[in-house]
Amino acid sequence: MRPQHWLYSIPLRLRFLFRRHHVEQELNEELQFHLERKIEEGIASGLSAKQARYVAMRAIDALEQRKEEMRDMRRIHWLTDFLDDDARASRSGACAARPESPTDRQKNFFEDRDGRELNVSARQTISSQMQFQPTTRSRLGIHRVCRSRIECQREARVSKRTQLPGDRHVTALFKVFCLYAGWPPQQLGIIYTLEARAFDHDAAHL
Amino acid sequence: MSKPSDLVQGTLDLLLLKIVALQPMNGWAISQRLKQISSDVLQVSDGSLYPALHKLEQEGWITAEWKPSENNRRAKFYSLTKLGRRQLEKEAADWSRLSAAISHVVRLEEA
Repeated sequence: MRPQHWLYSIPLRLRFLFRRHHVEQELNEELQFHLERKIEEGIASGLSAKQARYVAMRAIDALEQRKEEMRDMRRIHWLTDFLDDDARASRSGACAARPESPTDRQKNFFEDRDGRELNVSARQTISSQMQFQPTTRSRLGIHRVCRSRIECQREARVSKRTQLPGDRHVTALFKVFCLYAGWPPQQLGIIYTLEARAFDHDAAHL
Repeated sequence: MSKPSDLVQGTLDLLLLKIVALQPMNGWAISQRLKQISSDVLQVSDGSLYPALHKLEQEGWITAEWKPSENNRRAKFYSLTKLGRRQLEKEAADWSRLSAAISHVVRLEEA
């Protein structure tokens, strides 16, 4: 990497890191601006407002996916995901003041939204959904698909417990090192290995 | 990343750098200018434009600044950096070499 490149990219990455909500807002604003111009263009060409909006949305097909691609370009989203997950895990951890016994954990895990215990087929469905499912946002696998309260609870417990073996700290340090060395972290299998190990460790104890 | 369907692969960066080199522009203006200059031949899909611009920004080839647009709405204006100008020269030279080579092959007379 050339030093001039870092002259531009380090301030950008620091900004993504420390002002990420502001950066997210700007990303939305930028796409919104484009969408509005596109709608205006459609209306000017004779479409109704509804049709123009439809056409504009079609043009930026899968808006969320586009945002995701734009986040990918920052090459730092894995770290912001990590920080977000960590904060979420801490918040969830703080709510659970009483340490859970394995029986409690099993019981809570198979509760529905209203706290009722689920039947066997529902348990099986949830168990099948519990597979490790990294989203496109995080190819590093920290940010997992979170479909229900049950999975949120589980994710919080997993994140909390993975701090214990020390793998999580090693992973975090390694990612920071990759960031400053300019290595694309998604190509580094070692992170997958560390996280998969932590995940297997947790899964075995559920 | 989605690929622009109407552009030769790998030329999007070059086109965007060239358009931004003319004057600082927002994303919408860039797509309009590109269509206009190429007489509607070159069209960057809206979905490909912004990820590409963000990539160029991340590379340090363009820089962004929020300014009021022509309709007084706040918009993100991209302009070329020194690094970007050098990259543009390099990519333009590569493109000239490549297109000349392809033209040469295409114009070969059949025996």
